[in-house]
Amino acid sequence: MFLDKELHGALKSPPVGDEELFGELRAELASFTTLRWITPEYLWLLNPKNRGAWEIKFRRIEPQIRVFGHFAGKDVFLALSYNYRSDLGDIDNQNWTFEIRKIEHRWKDLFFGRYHAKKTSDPHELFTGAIDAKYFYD
Amino acid sequence: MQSISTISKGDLVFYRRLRRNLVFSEVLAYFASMAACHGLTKRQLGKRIGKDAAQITRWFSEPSNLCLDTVSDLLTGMEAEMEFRVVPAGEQYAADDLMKEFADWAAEPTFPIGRHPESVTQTSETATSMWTDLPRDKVYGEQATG
Repeated sequence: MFLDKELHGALKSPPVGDEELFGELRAELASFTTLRWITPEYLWLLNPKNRGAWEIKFRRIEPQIRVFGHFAGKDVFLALSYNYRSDLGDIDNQNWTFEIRKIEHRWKDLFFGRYHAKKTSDPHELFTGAIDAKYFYD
Repeated sequence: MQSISTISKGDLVFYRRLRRNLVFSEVLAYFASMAACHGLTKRQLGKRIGKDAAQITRWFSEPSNLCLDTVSDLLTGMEAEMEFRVVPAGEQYAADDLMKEFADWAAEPTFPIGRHPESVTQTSETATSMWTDLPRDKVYGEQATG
């Protein structure tokens, strides 16, 4: 798990009063490396799926946070942006598209077009231990 | 006398969440394997432990929704057991080593920090054989986002 500078800074030196929130968020991201299994409740491919933008859902009572990023290769995730869930709005809100654009720009800033994110909607090509959602349907 | 330093609140919640996530994912993975191999549904599991399917859905949606008693009920309902063993914290739980700022790493790349397949190795032969039976396609990612 690699972090964008801004996100890394926020986790290392959380805003005063938000130490617990960012401590939990740090654990949520670290869980990507420690968990044997990854469920859709944790990691989600945003629409449109061909842009390869993934969302880590940090769900707690409030405030919830969403972390966005791309896969550089199998099991290697770059977390490039984050936002409060309440600021993102409904799933149709353009703020989601804005987040996708943001991480695409950050990716370009990092790699200057020399290296491309791995884009596929098959989670098994991107991370080990993916659990299919269908087992949790009624 | 050796001085005792206080662990920061941020670090305490870090480890709480990390361990909660660990238990949560193991319970969900076991349920998925039971669903795949034996057709277990949330409704059936709920009935076994006196809860409705909606309650099971709530428990399966967020690690914070599970308390130890709930974990116990779910395991009992699935006729499962969890292996408990307290061991000294190893390097794998060194908070700052699990994530790295990309720019720092790129300046001096050592090894990729990612999900390591060896850490996903099953400890139980039964679970391994059940897991390999899981169909690995199609539906991951078809729920609404958010």
